Amino acid sequence: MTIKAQTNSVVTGTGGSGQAIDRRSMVSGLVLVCGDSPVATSIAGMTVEGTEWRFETTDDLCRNSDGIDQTISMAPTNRLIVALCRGEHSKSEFLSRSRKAGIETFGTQIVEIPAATDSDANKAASVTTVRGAIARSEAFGSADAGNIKTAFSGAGGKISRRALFTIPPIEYRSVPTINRSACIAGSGCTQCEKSCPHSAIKNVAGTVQVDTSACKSCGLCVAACPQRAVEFPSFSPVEIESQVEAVLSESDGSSKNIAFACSKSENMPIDDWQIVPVACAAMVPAAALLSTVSAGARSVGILRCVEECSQQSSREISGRIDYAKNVLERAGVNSNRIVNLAPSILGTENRSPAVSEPPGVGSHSVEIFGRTAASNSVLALNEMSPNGIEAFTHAYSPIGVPVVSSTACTMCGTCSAVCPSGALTQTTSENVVELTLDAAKCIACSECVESCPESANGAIELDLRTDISALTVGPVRINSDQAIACANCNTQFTSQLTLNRLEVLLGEDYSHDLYGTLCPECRTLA
Amino acid sequence: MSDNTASMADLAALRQMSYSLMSAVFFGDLRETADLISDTASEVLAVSDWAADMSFYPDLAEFLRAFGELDSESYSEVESQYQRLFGPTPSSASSSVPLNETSYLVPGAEETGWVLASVERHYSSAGIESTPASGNVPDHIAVELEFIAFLCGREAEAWAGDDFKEARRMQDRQRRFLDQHLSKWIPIFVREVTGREDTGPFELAAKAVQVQVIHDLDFLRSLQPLMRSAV
Ligand code: SF4
Ligand code: SF4
Ligand SMILES: [Zn+2]
Ligand SMILES: [Zn+2]
Ligand SMILES: [Zn+2]
Repeated sequence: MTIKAQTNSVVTGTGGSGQAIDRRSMVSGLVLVCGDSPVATSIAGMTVEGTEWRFETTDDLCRNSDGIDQTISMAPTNRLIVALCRGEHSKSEFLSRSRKAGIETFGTQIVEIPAATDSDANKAASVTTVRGAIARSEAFGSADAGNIKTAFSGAGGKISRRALFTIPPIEYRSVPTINRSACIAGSGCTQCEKSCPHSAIKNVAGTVQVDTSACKSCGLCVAACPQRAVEFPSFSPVEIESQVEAVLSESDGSSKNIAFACSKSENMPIDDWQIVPVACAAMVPAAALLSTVSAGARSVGILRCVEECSQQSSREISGRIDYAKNVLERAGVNSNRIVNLAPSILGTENRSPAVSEPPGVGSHSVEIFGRTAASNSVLALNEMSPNGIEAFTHAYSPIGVPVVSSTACTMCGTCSAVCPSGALTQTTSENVVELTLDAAKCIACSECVESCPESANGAIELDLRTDISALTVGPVRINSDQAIACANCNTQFTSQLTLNRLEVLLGEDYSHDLYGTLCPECRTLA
Repeated sequence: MSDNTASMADLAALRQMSYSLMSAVFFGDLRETADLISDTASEVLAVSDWAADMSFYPDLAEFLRAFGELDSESYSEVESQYQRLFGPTPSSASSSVPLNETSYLVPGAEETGWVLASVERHYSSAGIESTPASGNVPDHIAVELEFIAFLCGREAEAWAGDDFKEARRMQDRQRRFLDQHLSKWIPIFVREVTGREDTGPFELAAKAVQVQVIHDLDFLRSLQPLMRSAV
């Protein structure tokens, strides 16, 4: 078969200034600053240690994105930070421009700096903002083709055929892919699937599949994954954590207020908030609030957008905030440090709360995502509190304690097999089966309860309890039984309790010779 | 909002060229496609003002630059790289990377014959006749890529001729073929190539194919509702 190669081109150049970037000789990144901002000179005077970042100031940059290709071509890179005067620019125009100049998709961050006031505090805070953006940029790996989804702006309404002869304005959104070496879908984990409000991600026979056409790029799956296996470039765990750490580590003479803000928000909170963009406010777990406070923030807020952070997720968000406030209160920390910011509507002020300065902390490292994030942040706050955190239960607790009834549990091993976090494990040795709980690993997902064949008899329940002693005691044996070995191959294949239960269930049909002597494999061979 | 002045016709033509060049590279007749590649490479790079707004552009540009830079001397080296990677191998050497779709079928999931028949159906329903004489199997990467290039060319003509319906039909054909065939096996193929040593510019070419295929499928899917409801 041959198909004639058609290379007679009808492509016509627009005489463009677009640059083809030679990726071999690049600087780490470039920061473009609007020279009209009173803080521009402070930012341009920054030094970055270890990596090569260049700073360029351009007058009237906010209203004139044309020149940025030129600047980028002088110092090729694929990481860009554009610092623009608050409220005086078109974000999508700069994103499109920077792609045209060769910056890779998601390689550009736009940060807002003050347009008018010129206080020293403002200058220092803006340097901190850029420092955070640089850290986030350096933590950004690179987006695979599978992580990039095309969206057409204005795709909501009807469009005319005539208009479609021109390519509609494009916006790229991040969609998840799975790091297969970290994912434990093979052992039954479905946390991402359960979290997705759009049924876009599924565990299909032990492999997670993402339906990118159904995905709405909310990042809820990222927050749900105990393994940090969901890759979501531009809003990945490591990018978000790196930014928060960098902001908290910068000693600019002021205390830090961190706002996790939906990137679709029209209006970012002003005043003294440092903005950490997230794909949706619902992707911010309680650990983000607790960890940020324990790492030295004065206050932490969550900002929802009006359109997309839906009603359902706003209840979820309020629940998490309430939980986090409960932890703070019990730790003796003013719970007003955590704020549910008013959804971003133009003109909403969202000032940071009037709370005292935070105590000095040793480490600014934060852990927001993954199975140990919640327990570690609770433990860190416990360390800081004068009397320790008293145990309490809460409907939105991200950690829990599975409670097993030694009379109803048959030691069948189902719960430990499905537990995605490794909190429950079952081992067999020396004729003994043991079920062990390490509560510090529990993510309160209740997979164990849902999978337990004896749950109707109360064999296992999940106590949504935050309990320091359970978190610190280490692995504890919560049930044990005699192991039964196969008469043929000697594999220990079941427990005495399971056989007892089988006998009750089967009554007269129970046969010890059949169920209690040979393992299932040898049984089929026999 | 981005100021995107490019027409759908330009985009279809750019994609046509991209697929044609990738196809030429994987046909393996590198010397003959040499001039073609270096000529067209500069042409594609020259339209970069609007094209660079597309997420596939950086990989396409890098692939073109790699081949555009080759001179007559380096061609023989690249040719032997091609042979080592994709050519028939002596029994002693490690096996080469297959260039056809049916080599990448999941065992037991699909039948080779069924896949070949499906590929052929796509070709014939687009009005292309099989000419087995050329020695190329229908599921060869170069043939599949050239098929998409052909559809892109028809789409570009339709736009240029003010024929909205025909343009939409050509997009539908591309979307279905990308969905059912190229997007299914190209990622595995690319993993195979990247896993080898001394891949020369072929790793960039393979990567560019993958990025183009995934981008286009996604782009056409996102565009479909707009095309369908346009008034
Ligand atoms: S990003 Fe949101 S919509 Fe997409 S798969 Fe994850 S949870 Fe679902
Ligand atoms: S939640 Fe994470 S580990 Fe679990 S199946 Fe999904 S991607 Fe895999
Ligand atoms: Zn400005
Ligand atoms: Zn939102
Ligand atoms: Zn046995």
